[in-house]
Amino acid sequence: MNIELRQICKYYGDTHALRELDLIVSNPTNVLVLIGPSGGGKSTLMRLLGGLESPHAGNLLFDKKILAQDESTLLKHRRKNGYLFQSFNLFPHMTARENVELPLIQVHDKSAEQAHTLAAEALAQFQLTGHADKYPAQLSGGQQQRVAIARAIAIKPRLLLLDEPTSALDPEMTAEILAVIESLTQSGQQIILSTHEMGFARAVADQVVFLADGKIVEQGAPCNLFNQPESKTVQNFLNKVMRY
Amino acid sequence: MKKLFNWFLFLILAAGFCFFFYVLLSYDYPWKQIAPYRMNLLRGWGMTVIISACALILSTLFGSLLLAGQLGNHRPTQILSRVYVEIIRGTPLLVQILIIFYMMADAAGLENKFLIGTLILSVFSGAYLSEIFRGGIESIPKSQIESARAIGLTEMQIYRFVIIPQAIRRVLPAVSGQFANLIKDSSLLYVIGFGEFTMQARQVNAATFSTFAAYIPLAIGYLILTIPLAILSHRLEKRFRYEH
Repeated sequence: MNIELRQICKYYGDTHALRELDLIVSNPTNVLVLIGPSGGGKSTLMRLLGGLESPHAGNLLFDKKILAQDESTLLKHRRKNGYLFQSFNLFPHMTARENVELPLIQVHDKSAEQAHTLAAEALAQFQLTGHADKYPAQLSGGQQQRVAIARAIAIKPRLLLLDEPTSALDPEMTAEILAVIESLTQSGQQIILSTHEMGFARAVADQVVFLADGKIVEQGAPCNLFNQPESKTVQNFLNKVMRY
Repeated sequence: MKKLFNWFLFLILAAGFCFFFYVLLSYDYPWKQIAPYRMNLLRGWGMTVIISACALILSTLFGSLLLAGQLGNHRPTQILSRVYVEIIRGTPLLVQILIIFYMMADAAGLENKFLIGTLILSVFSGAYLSEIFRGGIESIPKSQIESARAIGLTEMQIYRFVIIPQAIRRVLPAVSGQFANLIKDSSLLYVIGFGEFTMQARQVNAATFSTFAAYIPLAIGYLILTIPLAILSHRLEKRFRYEH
């Protein structure tokens, strides 16, 4: 992936979520992982990268091109990429299959038949074939999140953004979802993931970015960042979360 | 303690019902007197059904327009819609009927009582419906809209595929309640001399020199319309319960 952020600022009222944030990620990075304390700006950064919100200042560049912040450009940007939320956000009035088919038909101009085939493939890829006609309320959290991943993957996204995809899951389901994400990274899918699962971050990341107080504190390959963090903040954070 | 309270409640209700039926049955009810007028009552009942059905359709249209006015981002339209709703909800229907019939319909050159009656009921019920619709739409969690934006739906598509289908399920019980109100409220149209059910009942009373003989059939006639509505609403509620 080729992404550059220049002097990004984002506020929510008086809170500075991101303060003049700079970031360069270039090939051959395929999997970028954001870590850091809660409230450090991970989610905000994910939302900007996903085109769900606009920065108050600064530019985002994808493949060296500035992403204009008008609604139609952002809509195109969202359509190209997949986005996964921590709370699944499936549509409760549609079955798993219908959830996957909706963007294929309404956004990506597939015929009902094509959508049906693509949805069946995507659901099968995540062992959901038997659950295709169930409503979200009839599925476990892990199954719901797998449906959400199937929905995001079925459109063959250029970039898959996963915003704390396991935070709302119990350990067993977390393991289930992490395995799915790992298989996606192995298939060459470009992924940006924000997570609190340090072990997983270390295992799958090509690049790790540590965010705190709306700034990037440290960036690097996982072996460097986890083994010899340079900054005190990262050291303290890792000591705290890795202690038990 | 709870059980005791339930029995207490049951006793009060049962006593109330017993008293009602005792009065009804011990009374030498003048069925014979009103029997010759049953066709008048039936005609009135039919009129009530027709005008309620027309007002039901028209008020749904009014309600939807008012909703669009309030949700849209044109400030003047927003304010006018709001003012309309508050005026209608803040005044008694009887007062509205008298004002619209004696002042506004006259000024507009309207003379057809059926038309005026339908309009009055729709103007009235539309305001309530728009509030019910608004409540339904605003009850859809923001996360649903987020998710819909993330998969690349346009604003119109978000309403069409995500918000409205879910909102309809949520407001159905309240809407059917409002439709039952509409049917009952149409009884007030007797004050403008429109020949609906209540008007006919009053005329039957006058013709038979009785003060109330036609009122029990009148009540039963309204129940025949409102009870199926209540059952329908209950069924729909059950059918859409998968969301919880």
